[in-house]
Amino acid sequence: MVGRNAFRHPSGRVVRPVLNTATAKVYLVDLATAQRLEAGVAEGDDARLAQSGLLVEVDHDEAAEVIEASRVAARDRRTRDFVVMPSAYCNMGCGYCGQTHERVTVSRDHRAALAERVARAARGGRYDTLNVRWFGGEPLMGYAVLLDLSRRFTAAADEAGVGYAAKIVTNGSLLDARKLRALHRDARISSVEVTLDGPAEVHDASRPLKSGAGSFHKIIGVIGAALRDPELDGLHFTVRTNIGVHNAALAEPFAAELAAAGLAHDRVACYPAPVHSWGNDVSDVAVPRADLAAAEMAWFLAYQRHGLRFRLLPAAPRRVVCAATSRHSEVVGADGRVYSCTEQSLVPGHRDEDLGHVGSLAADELRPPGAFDDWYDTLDAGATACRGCAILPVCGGACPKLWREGKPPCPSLRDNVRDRLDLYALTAGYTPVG
Amino acid sequence: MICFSSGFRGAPMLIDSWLLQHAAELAEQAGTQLSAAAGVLHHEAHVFMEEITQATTTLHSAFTETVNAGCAEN
Repeated sequence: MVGRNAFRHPSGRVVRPVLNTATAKVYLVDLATAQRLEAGVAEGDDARLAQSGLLVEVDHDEAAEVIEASRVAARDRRTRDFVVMPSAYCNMGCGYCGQTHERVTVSRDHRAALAERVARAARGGRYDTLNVRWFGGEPLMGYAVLLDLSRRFTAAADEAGVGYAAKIVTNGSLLDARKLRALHRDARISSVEVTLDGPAEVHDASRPLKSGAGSFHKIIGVIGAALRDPELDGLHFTVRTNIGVHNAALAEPFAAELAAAGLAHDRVACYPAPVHSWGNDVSDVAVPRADLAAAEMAWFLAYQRHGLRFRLLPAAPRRVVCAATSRHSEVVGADGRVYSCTEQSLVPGHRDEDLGHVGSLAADELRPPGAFDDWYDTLDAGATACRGCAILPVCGGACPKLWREGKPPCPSLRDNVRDRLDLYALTAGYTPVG
Repeated sequence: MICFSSGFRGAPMLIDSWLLQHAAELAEQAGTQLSAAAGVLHHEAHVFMEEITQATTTLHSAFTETVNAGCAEN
């Protein structure tokens, strides 16, 4: 993929940025080479282009190679993933959410069975690392459960001598300094992802607490304070913004508010994501696909103007697209039912797609096969548009579930990769020409 | 040993034959090197390629959400 614009290299050359999606590496190349890459024409001594993978033999099936690498990565993972929902309830009532929330008691037996399952994975000798992602509902509605399970998980990992990593995806409204310290120190959570949907009044209207109150100022205040807390200097934050018609044009005031709160910081990364269908109808709030790519660029530019950290292009190929495509990953709902996909447990129409109960599955066996374990065969068979898509290596197909539902989930990267490349070169310090 | 006689015009220049051969070899080597350098210059004029990275990318390694299609797991 080649950027649209030309830039001045310090050597005096005029160059254009190029992304090799197979390796996720970005290069600057001279204009003639850029044109040849765009046209797919090879000539003369192009050894360096071939060595970097920008040129391949005509009969080389890159897609097959990428898919096979993904299949192997999903099969041979040395990391065991557990997505754990310590609560099925959420204290927010976002209009676009596709989950249904209910108060469920996470029973003592369920906790013991899950802890045993994690401990067997740690002890089995198959894995180097346990990777736990706390999800919900709102996982902090099950804060005590989370801490209790974390204590057992980390003890099992330590005893077995394997690594342990944890992340939480939270709406952020229940965070405070005391909880953050416990989550980081005791639950060994190193990454907190919160969703903020725009400037305060828009966020508070789009993601209202069930009480009707807002949460924007509290959330950015807690994150800002955490960044100054020496006890939390290993904690990273990700700020996700769900982009819809309600906030697509508000990147500038949003970025300004985050920067003013001290979130233009090396430990805070921001990204925009389209409002997502969980199977529910989001057509009223979703930005039309034709406009999404441009809206996303406006958000990146606003991040850049205000010094917020963000990643424009993938840093590595995406071998395993999501938890649902590897049996070394599983999702454990608050009711103890085990799923392969995070969008089944609390989603109407999918709740009965569980693979069993954590209390009845054999503790030392992988989860039973799920609906998307054959994802890489599906890609290889050409059942989606992915096999011929240039961004397949860094996208992986995005969402197997949406493909199966007949809703192609192609990310906006496919539409704005050339613009992203130009902004990438700009942020790397190169001056545009012409 | 090379000995240039500057004492008077027409005096013979004394150069051993092995030295002439060595000089010829050196010239050939220089020619080869020049040719290789010219080839590199020509190639670089033809294909310039340099890998770059995003200046502000001091991001946590867990942060990979660049192709997000919406799912919280992406």
